Amino acid sequence: MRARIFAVALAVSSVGSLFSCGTTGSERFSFPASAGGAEGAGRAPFTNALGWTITLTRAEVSIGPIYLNVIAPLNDQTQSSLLRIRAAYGDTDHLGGGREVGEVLGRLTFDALSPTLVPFSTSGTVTQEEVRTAEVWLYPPPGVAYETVNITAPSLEVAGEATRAGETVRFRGSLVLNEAWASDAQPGERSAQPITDLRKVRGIPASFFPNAGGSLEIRFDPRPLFRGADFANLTTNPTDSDGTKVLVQSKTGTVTTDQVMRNLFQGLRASTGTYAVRWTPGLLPASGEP
Amino acid sequence: MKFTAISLVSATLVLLSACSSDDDTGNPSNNAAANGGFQVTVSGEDLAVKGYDFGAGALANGDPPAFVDGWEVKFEHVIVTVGNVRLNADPDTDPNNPDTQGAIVATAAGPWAVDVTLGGDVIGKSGSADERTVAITTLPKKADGSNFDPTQRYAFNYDILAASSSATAVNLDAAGQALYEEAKAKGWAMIYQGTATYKGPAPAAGTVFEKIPSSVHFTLGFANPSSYSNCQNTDLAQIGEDEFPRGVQAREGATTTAQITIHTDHSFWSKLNVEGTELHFDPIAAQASTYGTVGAAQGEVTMDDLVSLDITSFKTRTGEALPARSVVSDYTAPAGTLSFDANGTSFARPNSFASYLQYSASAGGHLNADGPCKIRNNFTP
Repeated sequence: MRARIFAVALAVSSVGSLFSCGTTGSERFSFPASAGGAEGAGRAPFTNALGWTITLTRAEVSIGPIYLNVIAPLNDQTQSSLLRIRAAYGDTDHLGGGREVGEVLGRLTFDALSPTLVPFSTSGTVTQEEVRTAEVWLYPPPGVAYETVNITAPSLEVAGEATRAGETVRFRGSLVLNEAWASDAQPGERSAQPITDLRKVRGIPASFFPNAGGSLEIRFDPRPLFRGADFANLTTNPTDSDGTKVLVQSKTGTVTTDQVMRNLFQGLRASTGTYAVRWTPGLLPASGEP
Repeated sequence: MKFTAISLVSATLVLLSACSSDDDTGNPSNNAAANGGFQVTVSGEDLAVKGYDFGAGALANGDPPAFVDGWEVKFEHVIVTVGNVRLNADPDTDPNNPDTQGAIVATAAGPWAVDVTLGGDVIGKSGSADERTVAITTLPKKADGSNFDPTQRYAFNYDILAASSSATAVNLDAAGQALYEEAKAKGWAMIYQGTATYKGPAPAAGTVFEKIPSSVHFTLGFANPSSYSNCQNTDLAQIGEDEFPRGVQAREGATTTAQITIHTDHSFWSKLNVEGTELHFDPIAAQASTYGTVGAAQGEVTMDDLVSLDITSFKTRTGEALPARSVVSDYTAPAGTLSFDANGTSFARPNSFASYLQYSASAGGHLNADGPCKIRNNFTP
């Protein structure tokens, strides 16, 4: 494959699909939506794949808008007769943009260490159609153009402590989806990817058929963000007066984006593991009722 | 490139008239032509044959692209095991889920072990004179014995399978057969073996790059069996920006070639799920068995060397940070340690470079040069 910019096509089709909501003729209704931390996550210590036992004291996440798509998930589970095979798709561009049938056009900041659900300030709307995936967009706050590269509003703020073999590292960091993560390629060039694409998590498995009176729930699990984090890599990071290591995201300077921050970035944008999207059905009318 | 590819289809058909005899093993036959059936071929395009040069004027965005870190990569073998070729009716049943198709109308199970570096004599679809494509089977008629309907498209599906004793060795030479035995033992579905030679400017003294041998022999076996379903067909008229109809279409009285195409460049992308990110070989070369001294002899690298390598912070074989570098004029490497972006994909072994490579290599399967398929990885990434 040479110089085929499918990413551009993906972005175009994705934006285009926004305008197709409600065109199927199915029932369309509004619904409440909320987000919170995953049950079972919280402040309890957990140990990652590299043996670090991590205790989070802060995990604040800002998400939105949210879209509901009829396209099949990028990652799913298939059951064979003998063993469970985890399936994935080799290239999201090969899957296409799909068609978005629902949306929650708000932005919400919540504590991912608390299972308490925080409602979006605006209701979502959806056309009654089978939803197969959700998209969590991590866009800037209202008033800032989506394509703006230089922003300061964090999508994720974390703090905590990691311990391994007697070594303890206190850390804190703010992940901002800004130019630090943007491709250096120019638009139209091979490997170019718009900043807006970096701010989307597509293909989150979400299999449900929405009905009137139901509600959307998004759970965020901060633990996958630290699966491959190695806090031993923070030796040259800036340090607070109390010894807390400050995570860095930067393309330039004496300290560039560190390994822990890269893991946060990857986990925040992972289509499986980090986000769980559920639909709580509305009460069906009793038999005989209209 | 596409116009050239289309024009070459007719040339392909001419050559088919000289194909060898038919038999019951699924070998190619000119019977397909008389029935308006299909011939299935496999190609790694010219890059599997000639490899990736690096010379004056090499560009990350060139055609072909160059490795931005100055490596010339030549393959000795790129072996894939292909099987379960299936044509289904109604490829457009559900545009949002290409897996949803009509009934199976023709199959060819195989499997076939194909070395796309050695290739064959069928003219390929990329338009490059260096492409060497090999035929593996024909589908002359539907399974019920009737002819294909030339007014219909049929969903084209195939699998890349783990190497197995049941595979027909289509064009393996002695070295390829020996490599295939190793693939069978290790469950590899794809094998890339070759030599990389550093052709960029001399590394600065005292850098880790100075300690990377200038010649690295690599054997990368990917245990990444995958299913490729309902591929788009770039031989057919485009229907949208970078979108083509799904499926293959027969022609009355002539054979239509369906070319399973393996893009080797996918394996070396620095970001998953984005087409055509810059190619790097430093992360592999820095794991060479002879890494560590200036002017080291040729080293070896296998997948075992890459399993515990962390894509979010690449290191050398001896644990030093591996900086990002670029020696081409159209790409500037970011400061700091080289890292790759899994871009939404997570692996069972967090950040494993071997897992990354396997996943990325599996994205290289296409139809007719550039037609993307829905890819289902039948392995844990």
